[in-house]
Amino acid sequence: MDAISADLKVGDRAPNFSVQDSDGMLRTLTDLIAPEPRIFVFYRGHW
Amino acid sequence: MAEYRDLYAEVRKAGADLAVVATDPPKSSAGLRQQLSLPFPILCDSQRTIVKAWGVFNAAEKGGIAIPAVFVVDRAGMVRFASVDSMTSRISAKDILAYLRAGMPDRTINPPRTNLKFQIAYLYRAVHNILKFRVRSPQE
Repeated sequence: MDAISADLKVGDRAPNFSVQDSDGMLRTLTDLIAPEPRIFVFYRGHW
Repeated sequence: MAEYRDLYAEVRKAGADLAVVATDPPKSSAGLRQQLSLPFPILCDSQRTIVKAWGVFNAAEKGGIAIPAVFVVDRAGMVRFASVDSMTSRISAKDILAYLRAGMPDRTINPPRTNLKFQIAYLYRAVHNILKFRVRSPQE
């Protein structure tokens, strides 16, 4: 049973990104974490 | 995601916010967001830049999708929590809330490999989840 682990580890700096959200608004990591820590839930998508 | 929606007020009270990252087309994510009445944004990672940069890219399925995972990033941009899900083990919204309330210690969750007691517990949980949720094969 292999453990799956991400390349991004606790203690790393999360790489910035700039993408649109589903409302068409541009979102960057910088903006998303500015007021408070942010939980990022990665969704595998629809079947 | 519905679980996160239901616990969102608690998440906010615990001093954090939330975003979903999805590789689905924006229209699909917009529909899902409306359907589930999600109060948090869905980031449309159609180019797979985030999933690749954060190391949760599953190239094998459906033209490349995300490996289900949860990260907590603090205001300085540091990853404080990382949990990558396997087919039989998924971190829950309740677990994340408990983590926030515990003061966000640095925490990595991976299925334990070497400790026999953990392996048995893990196997038990895997069987329990299979019976409870009926494992869906990605190939189906």
